[in-house]
Amino acid sequence: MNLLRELVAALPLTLVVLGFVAILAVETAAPRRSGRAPALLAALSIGLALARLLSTRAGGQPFGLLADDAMARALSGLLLLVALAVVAMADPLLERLALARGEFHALLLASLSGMLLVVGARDLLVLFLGIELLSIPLYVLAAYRRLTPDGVEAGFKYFLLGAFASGFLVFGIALLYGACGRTHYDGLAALAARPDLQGTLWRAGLALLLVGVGFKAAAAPFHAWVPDVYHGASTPVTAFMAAGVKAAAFGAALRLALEVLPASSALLTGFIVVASLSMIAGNLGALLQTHLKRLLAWSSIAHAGYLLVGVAAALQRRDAIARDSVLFYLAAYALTTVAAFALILHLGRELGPAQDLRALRGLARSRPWISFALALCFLSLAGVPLTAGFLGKLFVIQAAWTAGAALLLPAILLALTSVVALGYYLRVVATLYMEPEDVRLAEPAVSRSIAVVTTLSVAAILVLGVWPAPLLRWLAP
Amino acid sequence: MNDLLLAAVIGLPLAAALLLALLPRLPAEPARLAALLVAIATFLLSLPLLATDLRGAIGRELDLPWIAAWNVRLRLGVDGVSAPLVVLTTLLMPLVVLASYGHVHDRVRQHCVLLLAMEAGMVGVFAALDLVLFYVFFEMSLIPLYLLIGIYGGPRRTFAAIKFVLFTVAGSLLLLLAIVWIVQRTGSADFATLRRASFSTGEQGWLFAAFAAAFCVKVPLVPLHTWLPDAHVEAPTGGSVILAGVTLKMGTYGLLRFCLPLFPGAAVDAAPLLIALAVAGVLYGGLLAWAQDDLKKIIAYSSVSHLGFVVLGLFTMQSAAATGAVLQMVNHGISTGALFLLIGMIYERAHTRGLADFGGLARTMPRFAFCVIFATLSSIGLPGLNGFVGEFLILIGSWRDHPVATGLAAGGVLLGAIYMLGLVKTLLFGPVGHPKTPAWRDLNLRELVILAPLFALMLWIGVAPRSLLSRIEPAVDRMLEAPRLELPP
Repeated sequence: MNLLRELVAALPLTLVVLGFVAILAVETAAPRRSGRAPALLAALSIGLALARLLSTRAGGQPFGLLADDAMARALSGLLLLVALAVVAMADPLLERLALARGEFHALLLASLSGMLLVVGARDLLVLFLGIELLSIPLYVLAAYRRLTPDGVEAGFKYFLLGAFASGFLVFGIALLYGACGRTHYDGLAALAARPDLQGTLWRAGLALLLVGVGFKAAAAPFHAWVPDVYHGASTPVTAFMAAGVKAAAFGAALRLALEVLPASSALLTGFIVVASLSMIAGNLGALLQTHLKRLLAWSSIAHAGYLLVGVAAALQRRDAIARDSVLFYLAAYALTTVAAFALILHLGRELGPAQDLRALRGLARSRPWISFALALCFLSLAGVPLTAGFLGKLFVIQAAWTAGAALLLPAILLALTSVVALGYYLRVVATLYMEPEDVRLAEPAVSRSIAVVTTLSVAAILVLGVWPAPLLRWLAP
Repeated sequence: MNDLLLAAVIGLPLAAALLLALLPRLPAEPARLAALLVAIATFLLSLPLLATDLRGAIGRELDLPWIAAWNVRLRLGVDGVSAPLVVLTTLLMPLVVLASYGHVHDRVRQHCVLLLAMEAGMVGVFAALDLVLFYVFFEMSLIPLYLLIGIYGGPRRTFAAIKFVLFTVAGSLLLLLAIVWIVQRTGSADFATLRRASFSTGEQGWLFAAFAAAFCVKVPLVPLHTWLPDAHVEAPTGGSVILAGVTLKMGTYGLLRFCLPLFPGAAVDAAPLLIALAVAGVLYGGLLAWAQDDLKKIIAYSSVSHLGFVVLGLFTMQSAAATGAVLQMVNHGISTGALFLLIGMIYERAHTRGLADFGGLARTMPRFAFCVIFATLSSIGLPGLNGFVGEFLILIGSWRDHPVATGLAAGGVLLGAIYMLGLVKTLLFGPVGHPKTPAWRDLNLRELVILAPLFALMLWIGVAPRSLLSRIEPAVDRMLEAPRLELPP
């Protein structure tokens, strides 16, 4: 009975796992003939999980290992929305490419359940379990187009570097366990409060743990895999990685910063260095790209840097301002990226050259709506006012200012690299609107699912950019 | 009590822009007509704003909650400084739409959308009384202008557009950092509250630097001016008119509205530097203008020169000079707006802007010649026209405390007369330059209608400046209260 109660308390997660099992059952019963059923099942389980999430109040600790606070809920909600969008985007594509649909959605739900574990984890073992559960299905998903060289390369690279990162992570956890004999966050926090008892084991363990999370968050200098994997994976999977994995990894980092990590200046410096490197490397790397997916990959590294400024502020302040700034930024970033990848999916139709920036020259004439939506996504990523991206940046800068002098330089660097970023984001806008039209695309009608996903995301970007009060209230009840 | 007039002046063009953007099937001409009517309606709506408080207080206030977690509010209002600039904006907009009949034949609807969106942003900049809101409007007007230059501009338009954006944003992100810092330090972004807040000398120093960086790029103050000629040369006529007429004033307006009253100590300390740069701009801009061959470049550099006067007037922190500076902002918008419109009109006929290509237009295009001479005389400050009043007040006001700077700036007036009259001479008189000159028709009724209101204003301000000055001066005095306490006796 106890187990049942705990499972009910963790219902969003349980529902996603049930969805995963149901899809596998359907696939087993009617292999390859299930048509749209897996996608509908996935959407149903995600929808129910969302409904459960929104209809109950925060509180409790399922299994004593998972948090069910405002932060876990906000991130879970975001992850569920992202997954829903990815299901909607992916299904028509899978159908067109005649790829197995059931497995895809099952793997997606498995990965999603890992993400939900990661954002709730209050124990290092659960965190590790979540990260593995998140990653392993994604290795397969990244290589889902296994007959194309790009897809195989993406999957293989992601697997190798991901395995490497897991090694760091598990080694770090082992050292931390050695240092304090606990893996629960409460136990770790108790040791974090006692500087006199912290030895080399503890410090090395923390460093390795954070490196492992840094890999998943795509922060420099752990970013080398990002461009190739984002490029090679099929676009819905890339969207899931960019929005979902990032949100999960930053959820974990934020919880560690708020609940576990000691107040140490060395640690803060580490965060600041990684943040600065990410902002610089990501933005400079993106300046050179002409392929849209690679551009977004590099820009995702830059955004990891901006987010890390917020996490560093959270480490310093351990308060709701810093936490909400990261959460808001993640929401804005995830919505924008999902919309951008949905549009790229529509435009590229999985053909290499069509995702090159040059192929979009003068698109605004023949495709006004798509161009408008894409331009808006890039403006939001650039942080132009009236978009959610602007307010995200504003909140992160505010969090950095409240954290005192240590974050002065990162905040200034954030502003300066944002100017660089405007250079490549506006290049996309310029290509769409200012170049003469060279090719008129054939007339592929925008599939309904992509239209819905982008319309809703773009609307959300604008609404959040103009009227953020409701979301902020929901974050900080 | 909330006054909704300002909300209407911002909301009407914004709503119209959204509506036009959402109707992709609307044909070009109805869209343009709708935009024109909206722009005229906005202008008429904005006229009552001119009746500002004679003691310089901020009126027509609107105050609504926006981001409660942050204590950021939608707070609008105008006083004697901002009201004339708002009306200048709303006046130029219908003229620009009307002028677009001559040169915008492709993607007309989008052109109108961009113009109206920009109008909302620009009015917002002058009306915002909350720093965050101000920043939002400040940036909001940027992207439409970027697109306007980049889509409808000349051959090097993409380069000019991105240069313009990068320069401006590099400055304005520093402004953002400073604003966010102020909000977290004082817990408020409200202008009235912040005027009562006091910052330490060190804080004032860097806050002033960040604010001034954003505004001086926009003005543009030498040596941050290099984006301006590029942007002007590549921009379409409407873009140039808006750019010179309104967006440059956002910089000088920001200096007056925020830098002087909020950071008075730092402003007084920085005044010698800014005055030196302003005078350098007056002379250097004038010399550069003298050396140009492209009509638009001449006017662009003359803007650098004229805006230098404005900055000089503001940073002497002397009532008459600063009042003259505000009037000069309006004047520059009117005269330079008219000149850019005229250049656009001749470009539509000749498809060239090289000064050397022209000559003897006075004989074939008398109406055009009259208008060019009129606008030129206004621009160089002939007594009886608007430019004289502003320049005269600035020079008179600055003379006592800064005789050297004033003397040098007066040299700029002379320079202005030299290159502008040189332009008139080459363009209108002398031998016929272009073989096709006789084929160019003189200005038509539409073009005269565009110019008429500007010329009427030049005369009106020149003859009866009191009506404006009496409202500008008390508002300016309020802005100067704090810095004047800091001035050495």
